[in-house]
Amino acid sequence: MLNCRQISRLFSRSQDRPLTFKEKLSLRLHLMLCGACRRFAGQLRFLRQATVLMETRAFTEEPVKLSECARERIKRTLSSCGNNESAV
Amino acid sequence: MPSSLPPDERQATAPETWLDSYGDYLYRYALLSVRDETLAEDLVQETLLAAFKGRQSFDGRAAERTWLTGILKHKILDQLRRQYREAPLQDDAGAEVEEEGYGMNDVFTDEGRWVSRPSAWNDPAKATENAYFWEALHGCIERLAPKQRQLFVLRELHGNSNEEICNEMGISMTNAGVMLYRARMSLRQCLELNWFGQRPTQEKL
Repeated sequence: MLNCRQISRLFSRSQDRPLTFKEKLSLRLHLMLCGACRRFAGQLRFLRQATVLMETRAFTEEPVKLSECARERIKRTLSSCGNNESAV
Repeated sequence: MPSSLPPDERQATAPETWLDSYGDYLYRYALLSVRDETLAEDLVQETLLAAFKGRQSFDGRAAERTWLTGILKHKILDQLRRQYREAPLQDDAGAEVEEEGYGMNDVFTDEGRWVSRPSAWNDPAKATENAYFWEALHGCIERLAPKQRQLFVLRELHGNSNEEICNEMGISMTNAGVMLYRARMSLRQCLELNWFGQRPTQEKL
């Protein structure tokens, strides 16, 4: 029977690739018997969901912005690029 | 591609609109991956330039933001690949580890039991409705060791498969697995300390 350390690794691996039948079985068996690892597994699942949500949601709410200086610089680069193209 | 505007007019206005509409979004996205303001600004510029040059290939099926984010992801991957070439993974302390090590001695006992049991997280779904939670999560990701953070972002935020990451970065699957494991363990611990541990009891008081 795998210990909690090994199970934590196995569960992390399950988020990256499909487990083999044997691995799945050991994981399931351990989780059935071990409340601490069940909690851990739930936390990693949540972490994954939250990270995905972060992309769609937190980004629009955070106050971080491009500085005016950078914005101007990018605008200049873009428009000079546009002028060059239309000149060709 | 059919369009009601003459091509010149379309080309002249579009990129500036992108900068106004998506500039900050792209900047935040880039910043999370590279954690360097100048670099993030450059990535936004490169992305918009590439988008401008490749605007013919934009078929309008995806949302503009999705299309631009896709370009940015490529630019970030290029950037990280360059960083990896300059400072190969082996330089990262302890990245090359033997199977048993994994550097989790403070988390597990020698027998492989939890030193302290993971605590019950109070209503995680509700946490995501709280703006401070996102700040906490963001902070936790920022505090990861640089290469762990990059791998985690590529895997979880950009949704690359481990195979893709390993191919792009030239690292082994074992190494990638170890780094992702460490990243997840740190983030779990960080959230437990900075969010789920203290906050609920404080709120009750």
